[in-house]
Amino acid sequence: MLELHTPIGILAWARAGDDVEARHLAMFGKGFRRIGAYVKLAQVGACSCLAAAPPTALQGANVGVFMGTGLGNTEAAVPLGEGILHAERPWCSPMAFAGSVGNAAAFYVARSCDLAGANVTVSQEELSFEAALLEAVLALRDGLVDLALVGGIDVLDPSREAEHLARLDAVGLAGKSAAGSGWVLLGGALRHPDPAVRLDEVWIGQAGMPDLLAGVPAGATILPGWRMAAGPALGAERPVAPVETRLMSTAAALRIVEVLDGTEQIGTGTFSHVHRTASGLAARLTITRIGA
Amino acid sequence: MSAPLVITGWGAVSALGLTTAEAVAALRVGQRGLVPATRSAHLMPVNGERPFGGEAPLDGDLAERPRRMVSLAVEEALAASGPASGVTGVFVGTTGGFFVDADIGLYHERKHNPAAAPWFGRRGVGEVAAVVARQIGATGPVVTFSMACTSSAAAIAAAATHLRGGTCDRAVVVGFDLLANMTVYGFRSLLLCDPNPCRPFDVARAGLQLGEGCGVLVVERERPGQTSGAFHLLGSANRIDVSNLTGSATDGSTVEAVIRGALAHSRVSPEQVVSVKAHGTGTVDNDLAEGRGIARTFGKSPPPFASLKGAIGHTLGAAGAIEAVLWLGCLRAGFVPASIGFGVADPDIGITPLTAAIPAPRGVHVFNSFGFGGSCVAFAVRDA
Repeated sequence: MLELHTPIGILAWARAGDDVEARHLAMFGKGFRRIGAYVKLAQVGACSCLAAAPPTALQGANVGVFMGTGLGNTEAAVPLGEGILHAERPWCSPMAFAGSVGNAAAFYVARSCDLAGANVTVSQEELSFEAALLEAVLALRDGLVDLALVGGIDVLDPSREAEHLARLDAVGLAGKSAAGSGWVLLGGALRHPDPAVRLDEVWIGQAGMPDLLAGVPAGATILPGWRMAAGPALGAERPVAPVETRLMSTAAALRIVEVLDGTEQIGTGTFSHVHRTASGLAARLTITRIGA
Repeated sequence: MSAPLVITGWGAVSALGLTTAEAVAALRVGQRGLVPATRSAHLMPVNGERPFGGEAPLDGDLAERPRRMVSLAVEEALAASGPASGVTGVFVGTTGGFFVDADIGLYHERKHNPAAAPWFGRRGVGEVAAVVARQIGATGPVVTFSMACTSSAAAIAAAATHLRGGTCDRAVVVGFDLLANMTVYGFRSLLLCDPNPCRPFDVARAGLQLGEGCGVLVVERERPGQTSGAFHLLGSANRIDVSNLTGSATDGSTVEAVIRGALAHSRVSPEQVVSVKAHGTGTVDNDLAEGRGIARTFGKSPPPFASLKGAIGHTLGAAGAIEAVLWLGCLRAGFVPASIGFGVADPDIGITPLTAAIPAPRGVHVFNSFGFGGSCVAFAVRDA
């Protein structure tokens, strides 16, 4: 368990969703050609997050990008693979191939925000945002970056929802797939001693429900991830928000930002996002809004 | 830093063999193994010719080979490392994971039923980590990094931060990538493949050869009384170079920054470095950027450096782990391997890699990895 004895501040947050095309055009004009919705979601969310940060926080800071994605840039990779395997002669567009790599979105974020710190991209079916957040916290503690821009991004081609669900081991949950990106900017206590929002804990490991819930602070509101079942399993002694309805690997990123920006009202103070996969790998992260 | 981190075990399956020992024996005599590690019968032919030939070390059922390759490397590493203690985390670096399953499926579908609707893979890249976690009973964090050709180098660096941060007591790091049609023809579309054996840092270098394989390292916090003879994993650095999606700045500035960053994080100086495992793809710009970066860091007489890609090909996301395993294996066997394929110095680079194996010096060893997406990762290891 990673208990953050030296708290980490959440200095800013932002998200991007259905409005991404208009916002991207407003932010970047036509400066980025040949990029799709996946990269645009990353750019708009990340750059909006940085724009919301206290200007002094960014001065001279080594900012790393830590990005989580459940299925990656499928809108680029799927047509690429099919184009190669279903063509008479296997070939593809060079730029389409280069742009399909897992870390390309972080590259475009860094380029559009003028960042030169770490590029860490976590890609796994579940807990990818939670894992990216953990990597960011560890990098901050280890002195590898001064600030960590942490995001979760997933895109969806509705015509391929069945494949998405199969890859998430979630067949039977059709109609709930979603897309979007959520970002937070993390800073260590040395540079930012009095944050308005504090990340208290982030933990990933094998755990049963009792152990997963045992670490939730008294009085904290539980935000259950999409695979969690409502009801007795989550306990009766703590306030529990509704189970996440969007079937999206990185839904936690969006939801945490929605709580922080007030879109989702769950009361004041501390909240803990919890999620547990079918294989028993679990994550818990706890956030406190100071003075809320 | 807190307790030193010890690399207690490693294993590798590569074009040079099914174990680290086989590969080290080949590297000692400068042998090339530029064939796939498996018989990649799913790779599509062009003009009747398949993109790879030769005798591959790992044979057997096509669909089983990816998992068998990972399992073999994990077993070798764990056998060398010894019994586990405490919480184990799994850190995987890969670009495609078991996507090759889909590649094989698509190939057969196209061959037998071209009109059928295509499909795109049963699971995502995280499946490799899930399989390894089940294989070894891991109870700690399970994380997959997909950062192009730096994927498993980033996984090694991340494992160190996890161990220092206390999320696990032992880290099993896996680098894995298998040849798939998408990567083979993607790299060909970029005109980055040399039809001849690759020549990293050579003036006539003309591109890379793709490879495949799996490399595994076991890293732990040093315990009192632990057997010596291992290596300490030191610090690392990770930088984004936004100059180009497919390569670092050719003036070597980002390469210098990431090497110096790793040394600073390791609290060692460039003068303490006794060898550099170069990324050395054999492409014109990569080797120019890296060679210049090494020269900017260490001067015109740098520590001995070499690329292993002339021997095993470019194993993409697996390269960081496989090459670390083979480099450490060579050091333990008493030598630094030659940069196979190099012949004539490039005056634009100004420094030359090893042309023959030399006795292994003791000190700090630097490991470079660069990739698409502007990713640049370096880490350092010291003889224990």
